[in-house]
Amino acid sequence: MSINENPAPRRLVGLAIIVTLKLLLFVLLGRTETLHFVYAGF
Amino acid sequence: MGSCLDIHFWSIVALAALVMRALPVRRTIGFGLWNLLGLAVLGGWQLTASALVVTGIYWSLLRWSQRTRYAKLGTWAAIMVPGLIFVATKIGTDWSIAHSWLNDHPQALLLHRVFVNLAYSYVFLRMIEMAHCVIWKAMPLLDPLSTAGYLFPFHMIFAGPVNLYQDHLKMNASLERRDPWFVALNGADQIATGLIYKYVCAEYLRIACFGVGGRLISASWIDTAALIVYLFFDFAGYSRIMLGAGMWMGVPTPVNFNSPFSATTITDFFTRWHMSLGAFIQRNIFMPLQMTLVRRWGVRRAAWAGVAALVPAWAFVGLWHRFSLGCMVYGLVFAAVVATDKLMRDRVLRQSWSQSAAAAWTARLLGPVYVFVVVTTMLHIVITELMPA
Repeated sequence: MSINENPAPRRLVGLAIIVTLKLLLFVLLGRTETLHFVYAGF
Repeated sequence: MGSCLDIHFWSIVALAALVMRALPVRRTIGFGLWNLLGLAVLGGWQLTASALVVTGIYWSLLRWSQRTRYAKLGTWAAIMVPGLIFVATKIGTDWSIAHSWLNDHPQALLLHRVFVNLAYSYVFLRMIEMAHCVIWKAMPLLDPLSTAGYLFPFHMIFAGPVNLYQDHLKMNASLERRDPWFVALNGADQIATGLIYKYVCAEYLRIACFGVGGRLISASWIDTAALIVYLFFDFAGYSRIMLGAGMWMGVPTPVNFNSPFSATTITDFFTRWHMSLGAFIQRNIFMPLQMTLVRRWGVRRAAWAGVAALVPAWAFVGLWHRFSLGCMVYGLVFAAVVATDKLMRDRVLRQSWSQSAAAAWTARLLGPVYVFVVVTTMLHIVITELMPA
């Protein structure tokens, strides 16, 4: 589906659940204390 | 301007998503204004002022190239000036002899730091893209404020991707048909996936292979193999986060990775890995050069023109990553690998047995292994130069 089309409400709810689960996984497992970019300086 | 988790960064992105649509100006100008705020908050007023000065000079050169009287001189300057600054910045960064020279010349060192902080390698690519579109494709030249938004987008300034000038122009088209909830959720999905890639997959892989706080150095081929997977999760994660931020703000931000490890040929791999750079090279170096050679050599030699055009394209890729002889040779060897891969594939595809289902399945299964081995081996050859111990 193109981003220009309006999706069905059911699809929006599904997407919201997926996003919530992904964010939960990031919050529970994400290691953010050792952040760095290897591409720095380009 | 380093962290994808900076609260200031996300505040500016969220406010832009809410405010920019309501601004009573064209979208490119609205983003141009908002972008200055983003640059000032995240990088400081010096960085913002330098971005404005560089934009002003470059915009004047492009404007100059459109005036009939000075068109040739303006065109030449619009390519050469950014090119020479790029070469000087890369030499200052990559050559040890230049480091000591810069330390003895504080003003030159300051100027070098300005361009490094502006991530000039990416800005240079956007400048060439813009010159190609404005001078050769006769696309309209944006106003200076919008040009600053295109050349120095605060969410893409750190490590790309390389956005298209054509897409930036389209920002001014109406977006009313889009469902705001769908856009918000799509953006959030990209950001959430990017956060997992970068802070879960990449970080755990790094710790497993290089230890907590360990440096990313490669002592063996296996280390390089782990490093390339790590690089994918780190860079693809960052790219997805910025893609989501771009979606929220309504600023065209290109997709940068598309399952590169599922590629079955080397050419296919580079249409999936750092896609915005690959597409830039194709649009601005490979295609124009191939067309010129085909015109000169004739259509019968089109395949050889393609092979010849690969040489400067890949030499540029090597030099863009690191301005050294080693990296240029690395690029040239990659050109030979890609050309061989393409010629072999064309020859195999002409055989009748290659059309069978069994051959297709074999290619599907063994292709990704072959690509991974070749790409890792190539990276292993230059790893000490790209990432010194």
